[in-house]
Amino acid sequence: MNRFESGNEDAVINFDPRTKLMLLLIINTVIISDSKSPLISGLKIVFVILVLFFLIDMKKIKMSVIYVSIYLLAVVGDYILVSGSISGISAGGLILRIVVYLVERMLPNMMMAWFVLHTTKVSEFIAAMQKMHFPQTITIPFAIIFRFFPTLADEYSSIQDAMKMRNISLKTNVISGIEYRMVPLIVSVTKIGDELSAAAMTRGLTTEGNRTSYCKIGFSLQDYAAFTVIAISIMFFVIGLIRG
Amino acid sequence: MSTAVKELKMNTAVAEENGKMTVKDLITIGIFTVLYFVIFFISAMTGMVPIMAIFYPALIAFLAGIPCILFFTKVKKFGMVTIMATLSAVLLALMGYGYMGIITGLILGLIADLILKSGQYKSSVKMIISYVVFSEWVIGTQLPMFIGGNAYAEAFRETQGDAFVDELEKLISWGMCGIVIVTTLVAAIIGALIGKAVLRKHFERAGIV
Amino acid sequence: MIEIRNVSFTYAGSEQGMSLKNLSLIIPKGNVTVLCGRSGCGKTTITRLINGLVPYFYKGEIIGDILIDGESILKKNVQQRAGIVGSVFQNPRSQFFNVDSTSELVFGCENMAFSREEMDKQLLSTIKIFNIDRLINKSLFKMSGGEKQKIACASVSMMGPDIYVLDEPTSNLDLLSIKELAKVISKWKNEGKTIVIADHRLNYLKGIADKVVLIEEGHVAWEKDAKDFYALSDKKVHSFGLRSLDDDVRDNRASKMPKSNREIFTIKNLDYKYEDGNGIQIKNLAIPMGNIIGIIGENGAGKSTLVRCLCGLQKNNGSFYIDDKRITSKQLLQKSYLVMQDVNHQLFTESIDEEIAISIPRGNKEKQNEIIEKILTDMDLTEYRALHPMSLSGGQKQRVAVATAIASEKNILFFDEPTSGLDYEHMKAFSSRLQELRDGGTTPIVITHDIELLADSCDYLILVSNGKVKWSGPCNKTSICRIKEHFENKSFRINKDRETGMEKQKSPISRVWELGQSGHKQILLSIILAILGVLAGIVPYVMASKVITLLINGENGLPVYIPYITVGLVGYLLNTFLYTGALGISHKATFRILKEIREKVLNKLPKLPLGTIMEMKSGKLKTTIVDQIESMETTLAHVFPEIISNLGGFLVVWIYMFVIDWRLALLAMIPLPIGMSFMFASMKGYGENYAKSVEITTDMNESLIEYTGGIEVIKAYNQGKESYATLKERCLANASFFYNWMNQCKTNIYAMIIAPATMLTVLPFGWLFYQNGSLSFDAFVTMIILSLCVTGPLLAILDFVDTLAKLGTVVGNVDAILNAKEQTHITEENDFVIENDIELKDVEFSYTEGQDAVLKGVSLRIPVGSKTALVGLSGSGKSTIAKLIAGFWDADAGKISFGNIDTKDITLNKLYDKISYVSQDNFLFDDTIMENIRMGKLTASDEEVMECAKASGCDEFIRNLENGYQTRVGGGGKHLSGGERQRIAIARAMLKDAPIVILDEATAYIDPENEAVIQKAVGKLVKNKTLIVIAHRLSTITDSDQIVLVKDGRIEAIGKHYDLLKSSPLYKSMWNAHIGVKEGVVA
Repeated sequence: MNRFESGNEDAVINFDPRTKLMLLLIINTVIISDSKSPLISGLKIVFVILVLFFLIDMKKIKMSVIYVSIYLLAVVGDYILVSGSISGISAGGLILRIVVYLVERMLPNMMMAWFVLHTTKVSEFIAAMQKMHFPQTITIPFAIIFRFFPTLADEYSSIQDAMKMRNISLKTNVISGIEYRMVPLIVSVTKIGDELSAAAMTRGLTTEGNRTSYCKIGFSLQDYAAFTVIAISIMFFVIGLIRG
Repeated sequence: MSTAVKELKMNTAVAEENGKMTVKDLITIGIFTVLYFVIFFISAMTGMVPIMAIFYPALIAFLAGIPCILFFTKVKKFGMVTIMATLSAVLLALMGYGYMGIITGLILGLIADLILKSGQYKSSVKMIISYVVFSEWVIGTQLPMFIGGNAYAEAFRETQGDAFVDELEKLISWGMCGIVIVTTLVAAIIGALIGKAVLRKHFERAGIV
Repeated sequence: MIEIRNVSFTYAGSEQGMSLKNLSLIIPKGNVTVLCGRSGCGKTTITRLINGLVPYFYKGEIIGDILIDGESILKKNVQQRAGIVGSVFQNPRSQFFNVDSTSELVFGCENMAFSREEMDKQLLSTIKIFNIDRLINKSLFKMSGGEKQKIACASVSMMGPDIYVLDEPTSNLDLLSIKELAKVISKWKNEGKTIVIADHRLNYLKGIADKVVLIEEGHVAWEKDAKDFYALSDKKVHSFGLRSLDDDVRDNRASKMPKSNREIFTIKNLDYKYEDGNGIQIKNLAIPMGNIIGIIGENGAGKSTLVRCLCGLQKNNGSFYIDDKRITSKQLLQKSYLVMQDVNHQLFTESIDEEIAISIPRGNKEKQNEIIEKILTDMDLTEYRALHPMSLSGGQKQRVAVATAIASEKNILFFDEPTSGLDYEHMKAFSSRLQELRDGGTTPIVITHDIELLADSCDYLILVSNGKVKWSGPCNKTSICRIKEHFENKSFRINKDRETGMEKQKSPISRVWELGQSGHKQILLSIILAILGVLAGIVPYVMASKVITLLINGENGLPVYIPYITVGLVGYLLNTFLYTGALGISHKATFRILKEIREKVLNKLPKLPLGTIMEMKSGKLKTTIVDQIESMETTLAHVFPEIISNLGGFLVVWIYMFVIDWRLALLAMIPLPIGMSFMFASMKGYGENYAKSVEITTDMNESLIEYTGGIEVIKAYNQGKESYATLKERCLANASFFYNWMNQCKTNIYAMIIAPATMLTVLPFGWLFYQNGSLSFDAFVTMIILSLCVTGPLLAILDFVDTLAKLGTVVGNVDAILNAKEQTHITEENDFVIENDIELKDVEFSYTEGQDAVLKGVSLRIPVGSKTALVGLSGSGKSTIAKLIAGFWDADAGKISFGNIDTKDITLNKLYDKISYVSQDNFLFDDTIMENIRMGKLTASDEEVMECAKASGCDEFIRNLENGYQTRVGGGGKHLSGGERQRIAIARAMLKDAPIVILDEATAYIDPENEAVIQKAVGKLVKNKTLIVIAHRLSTITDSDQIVLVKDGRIEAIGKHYDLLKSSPLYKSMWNAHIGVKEGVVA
């Protein structure tokens, strides 16, 4: 489970992590907005397509197809509901309503988040944070989070194995099941954390922030293009909000 | 060798910890944030079942008691809860759970930190209260649903009629929100108590506190 | 220089008193100092004292001082010492902060605020010094323990400290990685660094360490010079609690045979692979139960995977039997218990009592207390019974895990690295426990790197390497040596698969694009034309919709329509012409590409080792070069223009639709994914199915060839029915495979029907919109028409999907040839004279990479002009040695030289020129006998040819043929008998007159009459030449100058015949067997 390798080396798109975060922010804000303004609706569509484009650039064709299909279905569903063809009060209608709502608001965000996470290395994030002068109190936990996901998975599967062997499962006793899972996991992970802290300290890791970064990040032409897009989007968004 | 040999005697265990975070603290925060995040994610996944989509904060509060109480006893520095809450909220916002969570995470996290500190990081009662306050931040991730829900429902007044909209609003109402807050509170208390029990039964005796 | 001055330290909260008691020690600069002692003696604390973890991380009370180069550093905390002291810890997995190796390497430098240029510089030199080029930019989670430790050392090295402190760095490493670590430490020493190592295992530091210090209970017991220390006896060393120094583990259990009175646990046909390509493959492994089994192998060899499959934790496809009774994974799980490497993962409860209690099988709950008491006493845990398992030391935790295993009453116990960090006494204690367990009826199976443990306790050993069981057998001195040798021998390639697994595989299309440079321009042209064509093809539809609208609106005058009709017609014509043109060009381009590919393959063939070519089935080569490449033609010719233009066409139409009415445009798309899903269902596994179909067809072809080719034998031995049965079976299998496959794909039909049915959505919704006024009539009509032509192009693309999958297989075969290993001889002539001695030095070779080496280190000298015989049992490697000398392949390791010229510095042409190789199979071309013999020397005259023929005893039978020397021999020499062909081959060799002659069982075919003739001929052939003979018939080589006895890829003995008879029992038995046969004893 190695999340942050660069997903596709032949990718055309190569944004600075900060740009990606800004894009993520604006896309999120627009997509979850409930405004009825046609300007904003148009903006939403543009963003949905933009995200699709990002995904395709990562060569995740299957994912793109599924994403688009589901989104289209949701749009259709929305339309059906609005046009009153299916009564909104019926059970089916209610479920449809919730599903449509969730998909329209969450799917593009999740896809965008996935895109950001899978095209950015952890060290790039850290480098970006350092450039933005985030204190170590934020960057260190941040780095640890990503470093520990795979570890957690490994430890957990070991514990699962052990439980299988000793014939203990959630079925026998729910409370014990949770206890027997969490306790060794926490103990194990804590111990690793301790050893890791010692090792990191012997390599000079401090809580003061005078670190340099090997990872090169910086703004390029693409980033400036993205900025322009973001700026225009913000403008439209605000206008749309005002106009109502 | 110099003749004036000074015999240095230090007892770093007793030495004053000036309340600043150490590297070990930060790493511990990171680790427990991961644990919390995983618990959050698993609980939120049960949100497939519509009822759970409303009550998942309570589930999280219940399950996360064990790691969080341990966390409180391990780090004992101001800001630990704030960092954990904020980082979790940011990660979840990236996943589409909305930005309100960051705000509630920050605020409630800070309050939780203040409560912990006021108990000198030793008081059990304060720990439980702190955990309860902290657990409520999760509702921030649902706020869009509650807020937006109202506006969303309003849009149907013309087409579906008042009765329908009223029904709908009741479901996604502030009343429901209140119920969730209370349920989470109760679940958090239970979770914290379980956490304390596990702390005594396992963690203290295992020597990792 | 490090000085520790009167330091006493107590860990905070410790009940065990002072860890260091008034300890004083001086560590000289530039030295490698080893701190050793029992577990808990304080050596680790000393290392922590140096790097500052004591007292800044591991808090406690400290008295005393520590100075570096005269200056006290006690007040400096850990981070402040980071630039001076570099630390490497025991556990590779908890040392790294980052996710990938490059970030980890620069981590320390980043912390110390190095500039990017400085980091770059350091990085380059560190990579070179540590030889970790292939480890950079890889995920740390996918590396083995040894690799991780190497990265840890390298990343510490990057900071350039003067002092290195290592705390039990070898605990989790296999033998090979330990050697690598020793190399790293050597390098540091050469740079003048001061190194302090705390460890129990000391043998890897022999020759590197300068001083050895024994720590006992917190103070220095003694300091010795390394020389003196390594001279101590093992007994003495053990008394200090340390592991044996000697690599040579004496066998103190005198070849104890494993018990064979219990069941046999057999594993068959196990093949489990992870996604990155690693895994294990076992054909057949038998484990004798009731014995202590040891499993050893390098990191990443697959031992853990094997064990997880064996104990039932991992579902797999292998078959397990206990004494011929089949047993499922689930049953295995119930019989087995695994004590994991990290015991923390399997201790759950709050006290040892309870831990044991929950393991007791349900049936015995009444006697629970008795059982617990007994186990506690046996395991020496009674005093700890109320303590929490996680609070115990590592060794104690392990005892608890064993206790739970015993309580569970399972009778196969697996142990994963149980003695990694243990000192001598604890290892011995564990070993006795294993023996107790075994005597009590359980079967302990231990995975370990610890050879001492293996030697001490195990009865039966299994060596795993590269995912296969390399060897298994009883544990005795020889087998231990063999295992040690395995680790010395670097012929297995670790992590080779890991690398290739991580490389992205190029899609077949892009590979073809790469291969077909010459066709690029044309293909691009055809694409452009195709796009234009499609665009033109849309025009008629647009025009049609306009016309219909006009019609409905009641326009009557013809002139109004004419422009539309004309434009539509023009569009249609353009479309046809452009499309045809595009296809035509693309076909031409394809042929050009195919030609280029074929040329590339043919150019590659001569560069391949001769041996490889000889082993290729000519049928396969022919199929690949001729048929398969041919089959790519249609696909390629159509693929580029069609796919791109169709895609383009679809997009244009759809966007047009979108602009007219976005709702309908979206709605029209809905049937598409639904239809496609049916298609995907049947498309799944197309590639594999195609590959399988090729396989099945090949099998069938083979069967057919065998049947017709061997019809002689079949009829003679009345195998007609059986052979035919196989053939029939395979034909049926072939037919039914395709039939089933077709069946599978029938869901395609649904796809074909549903996907283009845009009308399903457009009509009703369009009507709806029209009704409520949001859609104009014109638009409605246009949309209907457009929707008719929108999905067509898209589906046309899907048609090509299956042909694309075919490409994959073809490209694979072509690449197999193009990427094959070439021989690496130089290609320019030079003036070396090759008439000197032939010498082989430490030559290693295996036919397939990664397989067992056929030659495992052969060293041999063949003086010029001598007669050398290579003898040995079948498969020993003697033929391979000869072929390597002759240049058929390049050796994998070691050196072959002529005189002192490495064979790689000799052009292949010259090499072949100087060596005559006569083997058993003699290929004759479909040409006259005269020409066949003349092959030896193309410039020879007819008289020379006939002279050689006479000398080799061919002359007579040749003259008896219809056309004498001008008789055509028939492809492969079919018309001659074996003996006749042999003699012709010898004549050829004679004509060539090369100074080195290799006869590979060249007299095998000869009938007794001609034997004398042949011997005489051979004698003439080899006069004054260097002769190498490979023979089974020992009586023919008794006069050799040296006989080389080859066994299992190694040279067992060299000498003259009589010497060998006396000194080598193997030779003697071979000789006796041969003599026996000669005198008419029927085997």
